[in-house]
Amino acid sequence: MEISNKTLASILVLAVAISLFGTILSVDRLGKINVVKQQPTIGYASSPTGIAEVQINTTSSIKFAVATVNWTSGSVNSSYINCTMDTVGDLSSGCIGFHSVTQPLILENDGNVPVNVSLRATSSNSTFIGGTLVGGGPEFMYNVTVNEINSCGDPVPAAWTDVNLSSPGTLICPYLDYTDGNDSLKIGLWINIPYTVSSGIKSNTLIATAST
Amino acid sequence: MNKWLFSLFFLCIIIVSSSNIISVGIQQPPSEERLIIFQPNLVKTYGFTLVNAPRIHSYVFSADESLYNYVELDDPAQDTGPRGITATIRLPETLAPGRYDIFIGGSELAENQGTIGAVAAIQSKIEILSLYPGKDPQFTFGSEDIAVNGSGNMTLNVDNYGTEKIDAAYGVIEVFDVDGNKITTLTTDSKPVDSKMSTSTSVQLHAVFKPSLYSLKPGIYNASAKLYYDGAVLPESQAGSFRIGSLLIKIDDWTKKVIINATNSFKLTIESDWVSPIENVYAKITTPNHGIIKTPNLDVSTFQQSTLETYWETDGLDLKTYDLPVEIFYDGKSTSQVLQVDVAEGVAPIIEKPKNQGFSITLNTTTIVIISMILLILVNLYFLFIRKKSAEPAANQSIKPPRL
Repeated sequence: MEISNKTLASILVLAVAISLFGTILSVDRLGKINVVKQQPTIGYASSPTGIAEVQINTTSSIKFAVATVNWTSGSVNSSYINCTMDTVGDLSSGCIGFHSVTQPLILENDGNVPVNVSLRATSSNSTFIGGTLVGGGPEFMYNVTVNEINSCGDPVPAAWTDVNLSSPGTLICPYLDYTDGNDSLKIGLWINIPYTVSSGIKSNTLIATAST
Repeated sequence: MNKWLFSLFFLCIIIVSSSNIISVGIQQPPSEERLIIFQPNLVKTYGFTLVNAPRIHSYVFSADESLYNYVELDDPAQDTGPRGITATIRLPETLAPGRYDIFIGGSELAENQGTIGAVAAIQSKIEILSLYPGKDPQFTFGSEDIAVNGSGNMTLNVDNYGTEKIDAAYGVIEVFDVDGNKITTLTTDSKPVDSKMSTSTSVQLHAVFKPSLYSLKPGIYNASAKLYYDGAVLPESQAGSFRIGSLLIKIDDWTKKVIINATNSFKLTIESDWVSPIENVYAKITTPNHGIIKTPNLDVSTFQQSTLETYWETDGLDLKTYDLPVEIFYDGKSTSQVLQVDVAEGVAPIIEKPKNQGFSITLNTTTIVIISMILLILVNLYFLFIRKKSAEPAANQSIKPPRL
């Protein structure tokens, strides 16, 4: 096979270009390596033993991977005395306009140490929902289960329970693991709105506090 | 151009979506440094770093309100992003004997848009111990989980919250079965226990328990311990439970229904009854249409559940319940069970099968450089050998034989 001089020159130029590119890239990468400038040797150590000390601080960290529950807006059907909703998709017949929610709050330990977790709310049933005691009265309850197996030995409460308002709240998990895949909890919510509730925006905040 | 627009749009979606997931963290000194043994007028300063969330509110919390007088929190930029804060503890002249907790923490300031919003807070405990005059031992008790044919330690961790040293402490442990029948009584070794004034570490008192001596079967057992020290005994006892385990993995649950003519995820929830992690556990499932399918290998933690997962294509099957022989392999042993699975009609599940772990090349700069180098070498080889060879006959032709 005959190769023309033109082709030959093109291949050579390409080869040189590739070589240059590789060289520049290598030099660039080498330049990013921090090299501690070595002091000239002027003697020898009187003691051959060196002691290096380093203190590793731990990092505790948690996050709500799912941080909101929103049943949107709605009202209580006038033919019923209350509307009941939860985060497992239930909406009672008395609920009009609200959206079904199937996603509970998800709390995750994204630090590098196990933590214990307490939960509290910022508003009581009466200030959050309001209304009178008819139809079961205003109720806001929660339960806790593991989201990933082996995340927490014994999360509580498994049954729907009234939220605690005092700081730091109710201990819901004495040992929330930090191993990826075994480090998250589900916080389910249940709410009861009596028909006597006044209209307006209703919101509440849950605070999960992790301690180490 | 459309591709770029799509990428930009996708990036925006990721940014908007991720803004709702906020983490809050605290970097803290080791726990042993956060333990203060009370000394009159002691001053100690701790540095913490609040991390992750864009807006964090720092705070001090204690169940005992009087402790707020002894803590000073220095936050240079309250309610801003990640930053360092310091807490200075100034202890008083006197403090009643006991244990006091102070928490230094940070709470994220999030603006959630839902009916119920959730915010995370993180706090680090500083513990203050005011020692009792004399000897004040306190202990916790625990036992290792033990292999049915092995032995394990039962341990009392003893601390002395008094000002005086304990010369000799030992524990007496009673072991019971689940019905409360006493199996045996063990006595630990005896050791001195220094005051917390001079040491922060606990003293461990051990007793060894061998289930085989009492012909015990795998299961959960209870134990109760009392502490004896310098001729006295603590009135309270500490109870604990432990597990005697056997090298066994059982199937707790499995996918009981699959959709016909589809690729189905098939999961096996398995549970280990062993006292140590078991590595490389896998299952072989004998299917009526595709023979044996094997799951990937998995490590199962001590006494924990794990999930083995594989994919089963249900083409060519009938709508009925099938018996699937399943065998779990682990540590040179295996467990066999026949599982009933319904093949039913329905919407085919959207399954993303794991990618084949065969040969593949990731196109990054290093790969490009390596490919370029190989090309360069090939070009050089071409010129060195192939071109040279093709040039050789022409050279020979130019050599003229010498004239005779």
